[in-house]
Formats: sequence, structure tokens, C-alpha cells
Amino acid sequence: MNDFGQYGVNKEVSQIPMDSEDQVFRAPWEGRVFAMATIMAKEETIKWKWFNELLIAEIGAAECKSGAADISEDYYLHWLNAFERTLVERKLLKEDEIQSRIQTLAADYINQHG
Amino acid sequence: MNLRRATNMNAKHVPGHIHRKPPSEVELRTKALEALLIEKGLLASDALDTVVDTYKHKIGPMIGAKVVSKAWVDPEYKKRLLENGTEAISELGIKGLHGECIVVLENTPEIHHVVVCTLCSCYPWAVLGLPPVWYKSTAYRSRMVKDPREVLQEFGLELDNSVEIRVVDSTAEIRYLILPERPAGTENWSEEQLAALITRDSMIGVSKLLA
Repeated sequence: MNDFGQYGVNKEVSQIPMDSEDQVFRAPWEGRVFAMATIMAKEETIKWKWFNELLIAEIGAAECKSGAADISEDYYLHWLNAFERTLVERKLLKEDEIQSRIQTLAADYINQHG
Repeated sequence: MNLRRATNMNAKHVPGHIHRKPPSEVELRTKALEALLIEKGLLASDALDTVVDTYKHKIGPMIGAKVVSKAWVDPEYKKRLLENGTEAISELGIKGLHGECIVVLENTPEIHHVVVCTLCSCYPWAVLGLPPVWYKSTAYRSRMVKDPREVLQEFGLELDNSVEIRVVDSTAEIRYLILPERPAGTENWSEEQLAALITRDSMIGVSKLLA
């Protein structure tokens, strides 16, 4: 549904979520992603600018989708996407080794938990 | 895809076994990145724990409140703070700056500044901690620049039409901290008493302070 209001976002999204509960991180993985990106930038293994430009692109793309939800809902998912892209684009990690490690971790979980 | 099957699988019941939800796709992706970065020596795992703990428990608006209350009682400090925010903040032993500049802007009865990051969510972490949900929201970021007076009203802040509103856009390089007006009736208050009065929202510029 393309119900765009005067702000270029759909009407539900034009409501500022003032009463949302402010937890620093809603799940442990959010804190890990945040910490990985900030530490690597501080240690200059990556440049903050590299990551930040990709984060802006991720958020921009999410907000351009018609009927998009407010990005604060999936805020750290955008961080994770931007961080992973930074590592791959800057050749610190390879896409296939990330995918293969995800498969291994998922298989480990099944082996441990049946 | 194997991953999808793995993440959607329900754990079988084993007596005495503690049930745990299978890891989600984002959890697995995060774990995979962390494991690979540590193995390659690009990251230290204890550093990760420290950063998470610091942002959860040690950094927050009380640090910004210390800066603001000091500026209210010490005119020389206030002058330095407005001239070079980054240096004046470092003077107080505040750590956690990531090389970004912090620019401090003073709110007065004539000019009211309010901060937004239109493109993502840049925020002065070192002095305010991580931003509230609304600051990151699409609505706040898209509407504050276009209609600040209306948005401020939604926050409960009615500004006289004679007050000039300046919306400043934070970036990766420049983060803004607002120096709110010191409320009337606080002339004899100590720095500590003043600090307790100062809110996060007043340092973003979406509210004013009352004694």
C-alpha cells in the first residue's frame, strides 16, 4: 500500500515513537554488533566513515520502500548489514567464509540441542 | 536452505534440559562475524564485553549534565566549551570520544537549537550515551527539519513565535550538544544540584528546564 503522507513516509510512520521503552540494547547481539563496529573504528582497523556511509545507505534504502516501517524497529539490523558489508568490501572477511561459519554455528546448535 | 531449517527447528524435549530458543538468523550472523574477527586477530573478545558494559551502565546523560552544570557555574569554562566543545569536554576527564568533534550550542530566550541526524542517528555518545528510540525514528528524522515548531509542540514544548528555531544536523564528524538555559530560581544551587535537574531531552533541544 502506498499511503504516503506529506513527509514522504507513510502515515503511521509519521508518528514519533516517544513512549517507546528506552533499552540501550534490546538483545545481546545488538550490543555485540555495536561494540564490534565501534572498537574496530577506534583501533582504525576500519574507518568510521566507511561504515557510516553504508549505514546511511541501508537506512535510506529501508525508508524508501513503500509501506516501510519506522527504521528504529530494525535499527541494529541495519547496523549489522552495514558492518558486514564494510568487512566484505574492505576485504577483511570473505562473503563465503561468513556464510560457511553461519552454517557451522547453526549445525553446532542442532548437534548440541538435538 | 540449511540455515532456515536450523533456526526454525524446535528443540526436542530432554528431561532436565534447559530450553533455550534456537538462535535467530541475526544472532548467528553476529556470532559468525565475531568468531571470524577474533580468530583473525582483528578484534579482542574482552574489549567487546567492556564496550557493551560501558554503554549499558556507565555512559549516559548524567555525563552531559556534568558538562552543562559546570558551564552554568563557571563562565570561563562556558566560554571554552562554546569555543571548542571537544577540548572543553576532554578537560573534565570524559573519555569515549571517537575522534568526532562535539560542538556545543547555547539555547537562549531568543534562539532555540534542536538536534537531529537526518541521515542515520549520529549522536554525542560520549556525553549522552546511546540515543533514545524516537531520535532514531524515521518520523523524528524526517519531520524535525521540515516543521520543528510542530514537532517541538508534540514534545510539549511551546515556543513563542518570536523565538528563532535552529535545527542542527549531526553527522559522523560533528555531533551537537545543546547547552540549555539555566532555569530561574537556581541562582544559589550547587553544581551537583544543578546537574540533577538537567535532562537528556534538554541537551538534545526538545525540552526546556524548569526548577
